[in-house]
Amino acid sequence: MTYALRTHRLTKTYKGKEVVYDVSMNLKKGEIYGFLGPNGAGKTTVMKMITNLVKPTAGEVEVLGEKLTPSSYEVLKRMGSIIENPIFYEKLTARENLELHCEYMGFYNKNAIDEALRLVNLKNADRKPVKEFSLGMKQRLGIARAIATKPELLILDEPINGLDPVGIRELRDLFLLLSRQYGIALLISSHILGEMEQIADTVGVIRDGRLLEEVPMETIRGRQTDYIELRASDGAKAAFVLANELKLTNFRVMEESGLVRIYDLRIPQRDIAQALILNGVSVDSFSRKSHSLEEYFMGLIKGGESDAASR
Amino acid sequence: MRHLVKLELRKNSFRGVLWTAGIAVLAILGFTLLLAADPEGLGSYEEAITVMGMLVRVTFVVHASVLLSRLIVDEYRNKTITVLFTYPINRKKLLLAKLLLVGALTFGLVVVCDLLVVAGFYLFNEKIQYFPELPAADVWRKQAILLVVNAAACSGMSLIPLFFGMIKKSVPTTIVSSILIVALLNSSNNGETLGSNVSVSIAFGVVGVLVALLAIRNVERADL
Repeated sequence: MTYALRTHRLTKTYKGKEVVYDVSMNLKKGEIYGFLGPNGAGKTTVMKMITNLVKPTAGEVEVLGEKLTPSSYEVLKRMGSIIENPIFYEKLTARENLELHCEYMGFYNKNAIDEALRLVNLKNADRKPVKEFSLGMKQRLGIARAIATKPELLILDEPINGLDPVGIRELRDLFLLLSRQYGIALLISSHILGEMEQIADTVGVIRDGRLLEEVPMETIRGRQTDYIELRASDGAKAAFVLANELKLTNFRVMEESGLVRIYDLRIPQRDIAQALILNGVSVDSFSRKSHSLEEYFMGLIKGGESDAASR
Repeated sequence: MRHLVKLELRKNSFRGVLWTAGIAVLAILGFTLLLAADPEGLGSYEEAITVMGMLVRVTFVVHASVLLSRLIVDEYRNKTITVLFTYPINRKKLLLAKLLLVGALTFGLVVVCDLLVVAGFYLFNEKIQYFPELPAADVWRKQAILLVVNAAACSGMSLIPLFFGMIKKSVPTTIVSSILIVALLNSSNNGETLGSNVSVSIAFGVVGVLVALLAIRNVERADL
């Protein structure tokens, strides 16, 4: 078995409206899957179907090699999850919440709770009632709860919401640790693209309930086109020089004021600058850029929108 | 199942229940003593016992609806149910454990509090002599049997409000429907109430259990 999670043509309709449509996802064991999409795209609904909280209208979910049915209970032992928001029994302390969780999961390793709290850096707050926690602390406690029972698959819905930059970084390291060291497969939904870019092995992009694309990060990195962006005093003149003196064809004048992008990287920057200056075009700035996941993502979503408009 | 009930006890603090019970006992005893002091209030010692039993049952049927709200309806409202339902435990069992806890607690409270109130009344009667003559042994025996049967019926019918409360997951609906049920059973019509007929009470008790099961029947298929 190589897949921790697969969905096959998963569809959910509420009152005749398709909230999730034809979603087929594949998450390999030990991999981090970044589940990206704007708010309301259907990420939470998909995750609820994976944890059996919502029943699909059509299609099926296969978790750790088992097909999910309304009475699949055993497989839930091998999963950990945060769905929507981290929810706790607010009057109980952090530790009591985790103890209850382990009891219900049928997991009786005494050290597990301490270890989980240590991993998310909540060791000192474990005797506080959860109602006194900030959102960031609840988020951490939610992750502690999800990992306490050593699951094989983690479903985390927006886990970095409400965290400060230091917290985000700690969690990023934690996710990598869980995946690389413990071999846990993680499905992480987010709309914060930069974070996913740094940890995901595969990204799936969902919009309006449809999975637009599912690609390995490798492929996206390969697709990243680097280019040189320069700001010249005169755009038209700069274009003339690039085309005639340097024999470049693959470049674009972005603004008439002089913003030029050169996609052909055969000629070193130094030579380009020299040629421009020799021909009386002064250069204000010079920089080398690459497309990030963010641009890729925005491209996908915008593209989807114009498709929809033309339909 | 016992394990699940224990976990429910750990999740909720039930210290408040003892306070409620204590206050209810004192209030019902005081009310009955006031009635007994009125020459036209109570006809006999046995009538006093009947009135006290009715008041105890009314109190704890309503009290049960508060427990149901806390244990079940609130879990839906606070969404902690989404945590509970991701556990590898049959959802019907999870909810059944809660029903069992409410039913058993209600039965126990009715029996214990009724005994306390009657004992209190006995002590006061010794001093003040509302009714100089104590009931005969067979009256006591009959009342004891009635107490247990009525308590069982009570714990069954105390689950009816869950059915209405679950429709919209509403705490007020749960509590109001319990009040309607006790009003229906215990409002007097020429001194006779529906609830004073034991077979009617038992029927309500059985209906209560069935209706509660109906309320949780779909829990495996329902979306959250």
